[in-house]
Amino acid sequence: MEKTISYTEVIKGYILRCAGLMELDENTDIFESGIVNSLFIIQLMTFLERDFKIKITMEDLDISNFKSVKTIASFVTRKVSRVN
Amino acid sequence: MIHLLNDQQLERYSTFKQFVDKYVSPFAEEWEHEQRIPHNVLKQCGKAGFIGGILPQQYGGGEWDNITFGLLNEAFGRASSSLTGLFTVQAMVAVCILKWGTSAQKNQWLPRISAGEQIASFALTEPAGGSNIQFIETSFSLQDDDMVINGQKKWITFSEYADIFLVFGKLNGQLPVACIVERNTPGIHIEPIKDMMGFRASHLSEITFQNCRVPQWNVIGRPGFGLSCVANLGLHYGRISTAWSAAGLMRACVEESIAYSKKRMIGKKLLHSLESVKSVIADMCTRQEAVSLLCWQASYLEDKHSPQAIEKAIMAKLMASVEAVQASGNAVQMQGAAGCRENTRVARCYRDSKIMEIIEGTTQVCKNALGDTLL
Repeated sequence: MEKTISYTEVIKGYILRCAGLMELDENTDIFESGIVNSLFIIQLMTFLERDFKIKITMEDLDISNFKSVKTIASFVTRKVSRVN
Repeated sequence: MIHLLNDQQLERYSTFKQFVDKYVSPFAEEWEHEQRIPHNVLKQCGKAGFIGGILPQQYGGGEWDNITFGLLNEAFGRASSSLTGLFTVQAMVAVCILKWGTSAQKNQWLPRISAGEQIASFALTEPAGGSNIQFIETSFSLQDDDMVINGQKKWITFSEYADIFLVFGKLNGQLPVACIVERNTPGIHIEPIKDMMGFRASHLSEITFQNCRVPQWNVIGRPGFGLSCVANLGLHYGRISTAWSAAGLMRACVEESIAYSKKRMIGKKLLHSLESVKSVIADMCTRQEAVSLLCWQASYLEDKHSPQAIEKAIMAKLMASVEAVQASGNAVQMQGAAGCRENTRVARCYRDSKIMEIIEGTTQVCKNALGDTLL
């Protein structure tokens, strides 16, 4: 649980920096809301791979994994647990 | 930029330059004139390990870093922009398969691309859509276990020669999808495009897909991610490659200008003794160095797997292509009427540089994308 909270904060911090926002609800759909552009998803995936030492592959290409801070954190938690 | 390279990068750069001096420079003008690069040259590049350099060894690659990949494009870009087009598109398709393909797909296509046995083409641009990839209209529909493709692609580099195409479209008009289509698939019609202003030996063509049926197995990534993940990754590598190639073209312009200014007499004075000429050459060298550093930075960040590599590659491509136009303009200007002859190296650089401002996202599209990323 602690790790999930930590992941959430790191991911939220990254998206806030990239989008130039002060606040972001963890459930906000970042793509539907238009706060990030079309190039952002590969930047986000690169960030997740580098900072959490995971590898995102074809099997992970499900938009529900990347919709919001909450779903991304949950996705990272699952991936990290598989790596470990 | 040279001082930033490690020993291995320097050694490979030297190998690329030797290859170019022997097998590319003496023939580049002829290739442009004939609007074709002989097939054996492409195979020779594959055999030398230049096509699959960035791929892992298990797929026949050389496991190069991205700076080395950039140096390859720089070294070849100095002699033949058309041939760098080959490296650009092979890398664009290969990285998409490597990142988003299944193990079976990687084993199926990557070793052949790497060896130069199969030429790949990145079939994204359409006659109506231009640089804006969101507007693609090529349709994919699922029938039984096959994808049925209908649509048209245009200005596709090396597609005249290509054995496989990475084709982008929309599944049922909605979900962006990327799919490998083999050349011998019934329903493909390839019409070569000749007499381009530059990159004349890049084997561009227009491709029509008419009820073209390919196994669903050939889809790279998953429907819905064809543009955001697959196309954007390919274009990212395309920008890195084009930026370095433009840096090479700028180096050619600098070399030509310096050499010309040292032999051309104006009255009793050599051209290079004129203040105005010194000023132009100083400016060209400075800008070439700045562009090389931006290219190096983009590749370095890609090697570090930094998310910032995306925007730095756009910056590098944007600046390199604009500056290449400026440099080649200066090089032609310095040679005066002699530089305006079509078969001179500087005239070719002039024509090719303009194309560089258009491929892998026009200058305007790059600025828009960069603006979106930065704001």
